[in-house]
Amino acid sequence: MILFDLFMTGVIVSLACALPGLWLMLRGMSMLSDALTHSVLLGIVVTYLFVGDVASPWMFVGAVVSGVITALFIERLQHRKVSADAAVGLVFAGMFSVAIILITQFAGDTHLDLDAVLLGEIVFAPFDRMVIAGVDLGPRALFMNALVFVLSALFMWVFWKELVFTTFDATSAVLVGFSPAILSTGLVVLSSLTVVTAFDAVGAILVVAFMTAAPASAFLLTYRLKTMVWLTMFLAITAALLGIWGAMWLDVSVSGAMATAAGVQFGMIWLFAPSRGLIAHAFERRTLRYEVQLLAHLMHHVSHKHDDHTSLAPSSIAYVSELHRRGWLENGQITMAGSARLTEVGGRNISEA
Amino acid sequence: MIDSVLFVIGIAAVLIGGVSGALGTVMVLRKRSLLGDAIAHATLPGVAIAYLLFGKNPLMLVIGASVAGIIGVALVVLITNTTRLRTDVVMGMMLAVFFGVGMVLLTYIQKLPTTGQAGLMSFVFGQAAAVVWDDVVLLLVFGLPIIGIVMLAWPVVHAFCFDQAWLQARGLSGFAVDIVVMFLISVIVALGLPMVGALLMSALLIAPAVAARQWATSMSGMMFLAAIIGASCGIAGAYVSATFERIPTGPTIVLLCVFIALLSLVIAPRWRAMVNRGAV
Amino acid sequence: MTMALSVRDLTVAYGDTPVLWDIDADIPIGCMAAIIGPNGAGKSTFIKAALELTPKLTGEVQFFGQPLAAVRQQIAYVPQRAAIDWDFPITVEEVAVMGAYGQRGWFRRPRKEDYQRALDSLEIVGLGQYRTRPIAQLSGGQQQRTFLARALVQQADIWILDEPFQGVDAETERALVTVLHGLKAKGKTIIAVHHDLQTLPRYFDYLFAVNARRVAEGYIKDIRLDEVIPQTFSLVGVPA
Repeated sequence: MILFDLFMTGVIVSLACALPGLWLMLRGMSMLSDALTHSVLLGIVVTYLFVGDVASPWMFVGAVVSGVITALFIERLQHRKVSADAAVGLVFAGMFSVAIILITQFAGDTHLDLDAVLLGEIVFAPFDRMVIAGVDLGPRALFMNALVFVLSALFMWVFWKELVFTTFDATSAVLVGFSPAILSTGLVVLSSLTVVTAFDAVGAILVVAFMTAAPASAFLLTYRLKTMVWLTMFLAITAALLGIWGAMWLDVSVSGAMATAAGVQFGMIWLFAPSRGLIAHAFERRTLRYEVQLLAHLMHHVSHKHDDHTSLAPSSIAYVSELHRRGWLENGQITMAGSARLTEVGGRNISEA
Repeated sequence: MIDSVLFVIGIAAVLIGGVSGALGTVMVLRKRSLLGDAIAHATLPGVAIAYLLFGKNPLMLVIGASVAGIIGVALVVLITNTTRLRTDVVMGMMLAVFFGVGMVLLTYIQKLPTTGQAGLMSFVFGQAAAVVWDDVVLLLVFGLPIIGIVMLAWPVVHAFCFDQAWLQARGLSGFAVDIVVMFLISVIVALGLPMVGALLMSALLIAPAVAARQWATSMSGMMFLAAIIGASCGIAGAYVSATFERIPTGPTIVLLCVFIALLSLVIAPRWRAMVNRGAV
Repeated sequence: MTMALSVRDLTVAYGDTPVLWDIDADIPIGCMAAIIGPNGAGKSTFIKAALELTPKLTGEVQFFGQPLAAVRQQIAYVPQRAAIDWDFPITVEEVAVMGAYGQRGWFRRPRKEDYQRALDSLEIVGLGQYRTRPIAQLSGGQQQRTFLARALVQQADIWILDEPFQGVDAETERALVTVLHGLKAKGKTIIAVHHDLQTLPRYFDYLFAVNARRVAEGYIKDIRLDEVIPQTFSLVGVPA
């Protein structure tokens, strides 16, 4: 039962991250997840300093608030488009530094230690139960992340056409009355919620892995958005399962293993994806080059002919047979008599090719 | 009395602050701020593997970190160039995945029946107190030559940042220079890990340069100023950290650099405006 | 008389640099107007400012005598190719049906007749067989035609296109012109930023020449092109 809870939690966290991660990727905002983890950490630490109790619900609120504030802050800066990139990066580094200093200063040996913060430790998740009115609903992390996942799915479903429109062609969207800004804000708030909720289970850095790897993998496998959404979710699940299983087998960090699995999955897809993977591309390029050579060779002859027939040197017979094999030349267009000749018809066909 | 431990930490801080400030200038001028972050996160598996193979040998750890950093960046470039994926998502993914791999290796190591591996965690956050003379030696042995290379190849570096045509006219490939720079940065990141840690190293590279940019009028001036700022924050941070209880060195140095950078961003334009108006 | 697009005192600046200065315009309904001018002289900026896609310093803009907000659904906009994310996973017919989104408004799904209109429009521009293709797989000209289909679905009264003939093949150019002239025949107004002076008199019947300031405006048949064109392209921007 515990093991089941562990797998379920891992899968749900992975799913919850992948969905907003997909839209962040499509809008070119993937680094937001990285920035958010930095600022959320500070929010958590500051809240802890005020509240003094790690288990307090205020921790969650504090984290969400800081996440949303920073997300909105970045949003505003996007519109200013000054060299804000470097400044933003520095602000987050600064916030992260402050957070670490505060943690080391004050937190001492409480739950809020650095390792846990970075890595989370999903292994403990099954023991932290969600109990409402005396009923044990399962691991808290599972519940919270499932909630966030449902929220994301709902957001996506309700605003589907708005999301698509404002991501693909923001300018026209503005013109007919939609607001890319509202959708960005919504997406960013959603991402903050996701980061905060997943944080607890898998830690800061790895949230980023789940928000980028599954969407990126799906992106390589399909050109259709709906398929991409389903693929992202499927790949998020498989990476999570693989990772947890691997971690159990090797007895290593579970979230680290999940991130590794996600990365390996991406790597496989990158290399081997049919027609879009690296290997397929290399093969295609070689074939293309060869065909271009064939064409060039024949164009040369066509453009140089002085009468109805052009003779090809014997070495070109190999080329011609190749063409014949590919069905580019029908019978009657080539006569092979010692050296092959191009008939006029054949020549014209080549020009059109 | 100068505490010898403090002395060691101080020297290390000055060196790493200065060298990263200087090289960071190139990154900032080329608008590649995220690159340092990517390299830094990628180093972790390298450190872990080096430890598994060679034990806690500072030199090998630095080499392992550099190699991993370079591989990470190379992958980002490769993936971005061979797919329709954009840089932001590839970089984010690589950062986190490499870090995850590093974590897996580290937790694996921690189960091994050997001592002395707890210190590996310090590569993530930095732990100045654990910096030893060996680390300083490495900084001198690698860091100073890097500065030397930059100074000797100054025209190339300058052209790389501002005038690519100059490079092409001399048959030098901008791409090759890019690779060399990334390699140098990987080494610097690796050198800075013990003190500042992987997560904050990129800020140490960028912040002094961003600050210097607001005040300097030439590239050499900018680089020099960045080195000075980096080194000063280094020594100041080390001092503060040593003087007060439970203040980690790495974040303190970074915080100082960031503070100066943000301050410069805000003050420098106003200062310039006042100068232009003849008020100063 | 109501103008399709009426502009008064439009001034646009990027930072401290003025790009458009004191522009007036009165583009009549039912014409096919070309906006010409040197690169960087404000052609695209003019449209974008009129459509409130770019902030303006001063100026009043009216479409059919009303402010933009009142007539949004009546304006179809075909942006420059560079402004679109062509890697986005979307098919031709999905782009086409986007034309109906504005009319549906927030939250509502497109209706069956919207999908039908999308298919019909795709047939008109000659992309019927490509309807389930992802746009990333189309040629530049085909992509442009997809956007044309989208604008057709919108059933707008005024069409604004930014460099529609830029970088397209001959077949696409012909298709574009045919569709646009067909629309004009039905009384629609077409306004396009145009770069090819050779085809200018053949495709368009109204001209708006701009180089930071308005250089000339009017029906082409009433304008001395051989005077106006050199004038437009030789001015050196805004006097200080």
